[in-house]
Amino acid sequence: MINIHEKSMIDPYKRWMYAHHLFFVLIQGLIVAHRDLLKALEEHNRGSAISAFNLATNLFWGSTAAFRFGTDYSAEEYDSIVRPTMGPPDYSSGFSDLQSVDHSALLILISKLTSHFKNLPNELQAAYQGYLSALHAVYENHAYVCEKFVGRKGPSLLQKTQGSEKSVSAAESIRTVYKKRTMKYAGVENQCPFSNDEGK
Amino acid sequence: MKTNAAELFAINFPLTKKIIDEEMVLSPGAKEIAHDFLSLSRDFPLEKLEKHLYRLLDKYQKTVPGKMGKIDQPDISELQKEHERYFYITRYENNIGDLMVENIIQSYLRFLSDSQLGHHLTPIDFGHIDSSLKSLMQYLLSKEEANND
Repeated sequence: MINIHEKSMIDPYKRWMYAHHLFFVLIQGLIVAHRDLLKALEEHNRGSAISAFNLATNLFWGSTAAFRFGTDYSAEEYDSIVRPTMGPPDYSSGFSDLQSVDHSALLILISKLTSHFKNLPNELQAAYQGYLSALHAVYENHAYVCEKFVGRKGPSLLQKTQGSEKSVSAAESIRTVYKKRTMKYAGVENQCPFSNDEGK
Repeated sequence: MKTNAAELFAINFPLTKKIIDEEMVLSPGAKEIAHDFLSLSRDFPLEKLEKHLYRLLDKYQKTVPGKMGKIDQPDISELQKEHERYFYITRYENNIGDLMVENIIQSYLRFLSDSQLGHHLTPIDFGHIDSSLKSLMQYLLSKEEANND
């Protein structure tokens, strides 16, 4: 491991890009895992369901580390080097990872699993709880990197395009909108099972 | 020419339809490479691990059938000039299982190479990335073996 006190040779743009290469593979793996989980639960195949749950859990934890890997430079470097590549003139405004086809497909798959998640047999509960813990961590890490780069009040590029930049920050959106939505798909209603706040 | 964010997503040719529709078949060459990948230890020095991964990619590109896919924008030859030969380009005309084997190795190699330039990751973070890619490769192999039973 490189001594963090030495001058880093990191190229922020390449670091951002290579982290996204990791994300692409992880998301594609998550699609495989959720596709197989849906099939296993429909067929009451508990062994396959546990394998698919465990794969998804591992891939979620990989994603949490990939967030930190991909943002391992300063906010100033992000603003001056990485962020300009995400907008005009090279790209239309409002760039967001939400535009990823694979990411959308993953969310649709998770939403198809909701009724199964709410009726899991006891033998699958341990695997399911591990899955939820990892899923929660993914969103928290995403919010963390947003806060690092745009601050606690800063909007995302998508929010700026939508004109919603003054209402809620990017990090807050992730925690209160996107995480809440996905945890609901994952069978968790209203209350975050990992804290005492009421689903915030 | 610097690749912009949009090109990054264009390069990662969306595999959604193939992943959802196709069975995860591995060609014999890809299966062998997947086994080789799983035998690599995270305890190896990073440089040694990196060399092994380059060898696996070489072996993949020489032994696993498939053609480079077409991408409309940007011109692929320009990107290949900008990046070294192992730039992450999905060969989508391969079967999906083989594609994922290559993608896993490519992304691990990128991660390892770039992490040597500097990082603040903990050993647990390294473990998560290593474990997630290994578990995906193991899963692909297990499905392949289950399909053949």
